[in-house]
Amino acid sequence: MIEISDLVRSELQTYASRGIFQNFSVSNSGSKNLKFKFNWLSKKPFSLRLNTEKCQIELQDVLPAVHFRSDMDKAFREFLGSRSALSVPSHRRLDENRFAIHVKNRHQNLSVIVNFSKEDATKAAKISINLLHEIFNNFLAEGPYQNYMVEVFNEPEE
Amino acid sequence: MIMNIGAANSARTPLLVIASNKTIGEDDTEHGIQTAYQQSQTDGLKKWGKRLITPNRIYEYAAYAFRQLKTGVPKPVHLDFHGEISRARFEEPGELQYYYDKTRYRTESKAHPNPADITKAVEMIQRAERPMIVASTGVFYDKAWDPLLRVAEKNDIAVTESAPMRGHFSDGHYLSASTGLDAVRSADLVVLIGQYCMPSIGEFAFGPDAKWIRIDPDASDIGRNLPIDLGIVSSEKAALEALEDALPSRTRQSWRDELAAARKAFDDQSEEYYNLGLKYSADTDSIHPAVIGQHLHDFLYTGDIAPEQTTVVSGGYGIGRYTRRYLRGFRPGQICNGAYQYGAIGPDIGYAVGVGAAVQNGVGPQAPYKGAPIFGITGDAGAAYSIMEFETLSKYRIPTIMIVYNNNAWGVWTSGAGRGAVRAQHMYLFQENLRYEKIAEALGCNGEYVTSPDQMTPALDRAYKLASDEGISTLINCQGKKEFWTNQYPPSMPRHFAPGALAYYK
Repeated sequence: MIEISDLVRSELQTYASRGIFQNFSVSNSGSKNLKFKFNWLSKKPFSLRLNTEKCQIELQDVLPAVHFRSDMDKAFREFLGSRSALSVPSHRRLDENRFAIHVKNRHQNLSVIVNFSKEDATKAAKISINLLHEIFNNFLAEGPYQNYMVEVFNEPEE
Repeated sequence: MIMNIGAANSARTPLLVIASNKTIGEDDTEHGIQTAYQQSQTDGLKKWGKRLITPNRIYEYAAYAFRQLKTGVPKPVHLDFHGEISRARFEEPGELQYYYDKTRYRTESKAHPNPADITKAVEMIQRAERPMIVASTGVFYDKAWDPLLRVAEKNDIAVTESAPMRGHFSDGHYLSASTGLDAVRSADLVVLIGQYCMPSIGEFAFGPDAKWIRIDPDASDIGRNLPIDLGIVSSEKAALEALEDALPSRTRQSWRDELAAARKAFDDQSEEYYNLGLKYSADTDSIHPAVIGQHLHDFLYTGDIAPEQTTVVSGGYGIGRYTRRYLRGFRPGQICNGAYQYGAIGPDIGYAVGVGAAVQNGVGPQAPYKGAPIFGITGDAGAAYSIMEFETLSKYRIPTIMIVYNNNAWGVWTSGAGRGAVRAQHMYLFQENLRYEKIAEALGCNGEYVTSPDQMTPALDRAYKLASDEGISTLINCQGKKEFWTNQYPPSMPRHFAPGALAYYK
């Protein structure tokens, strides 16, 4: 039987092999918690933790420096909640019957947790990566976050 | 000058820079003025350069220059020459070295695609459910907009644009994705055509699962910055014609529906920004950039002027992030994006002189609109660099209406006190409410000063009439507030999004 860890690792490796991710690495290999790190949409590397026992993928500290219950915190939760709305094209729509998304704000760092069942491990990995893309190219791109990106992600002003 | 050559280099403009120099006979003496070795000054900003030394090789090096300008992927060419060259005179072709008739000095031949590559491309396009073409600089330079349209319509392939110019695929077409940002995120196959300035991963908003085809005349560039699934070496027009022959007819109704929904969502957001802009304008006794953008849109595209008529030089830093949203390209060369890739501050008015001259003389795709007024957009910082070009506009009667967004500051002023550099804040600011239109008036043009939304359209009307009837240019000084870029006025400064209508650098 193929382990969840192998399925998720294989899916993420595909992105690395295609050149989408740079500096892709895996740590704690062999334990129930794997950590993946890679560079992609920002200078700061992304960190993705897989908990094989709980069948959870956590996008760790995706958005730093966001106060709990701030407008941005609320807007972010609303945005993730809207990913399963009918207004989202069906091929990008999140199936909330198969995947449960939670947001965690700890020490002003927003993380996203994707819960899935064993048979959906590969899909969960893909969804997690696409969620990251939606966060950076939809939520942050279309919202009033220019100053946030400059101040927190050190994006150039121009 | 160097900044403009840099801008041309980034935009892949075939710009010929001819610059004089002192004499070889007085080399190293500093006799007279303006001793400079020029070629090193344009290192990295050109495709090719030569310091002409031998007078009877002028013809030969002119041929070199034009071969570089007219073939492959263009960029600036820099020729500099000393006094002995410019004073040389020749009576017969036989006096020139390496002379032969100009019909023989270069070829018009262009690369055609390998049929096996076209077959692979067709397979990939047929497997895709949401294919999208990014029609970039090369499509315009190769005049490939007609086969582009036929390919898109034959197989229902969406098209967006990325280039220093927009309009080679009409924003009004049902397959246009230039204002369909959400559709960009949905594309599962991206076909980059003539994308000379290559984005890196993440610069274009396509999803991580999208496959990539790149069609380019330069094999050595395919695979740079962005890993591709299929590369095709070809001129853009030849590749599009080959695809047109090879692709089957197909309708993708759900993709069309998704494109339409994405465009509607974009328009809804533009409307939202406009309504916010009206409120902010009223709160501050000024005019918000979203209001400028919407009024300009209505004036150019929904009033008495034919929507495809007016060429616009889309410049400015902060203002550009709003006005780009409201500008439309319905035909080739309708929007000129001066800031493309280099992000130079200040060339916009000078750029408008060039664009205005092209329209005034009916050059290339501007031919059907010969003599029509053009519009330009810039900010107060940009105007400061090249406002003297209003003298040029006046002298040559180039009918131009230039919108100057005046927010009393450089667009990056929030980098001052807002980021802790309190002592440096003054460097980012201008004196308040400066009357730039008075400078234009002093130079023989017309000036308008707009301080509220209700003044905008009447100012456009007056300016357009003067330009159209008398060839007189106008500077419309739109008084805004620098605070509109702060979090106090969301969406403050909107972010870039590429490719498409909101793209700035790519």
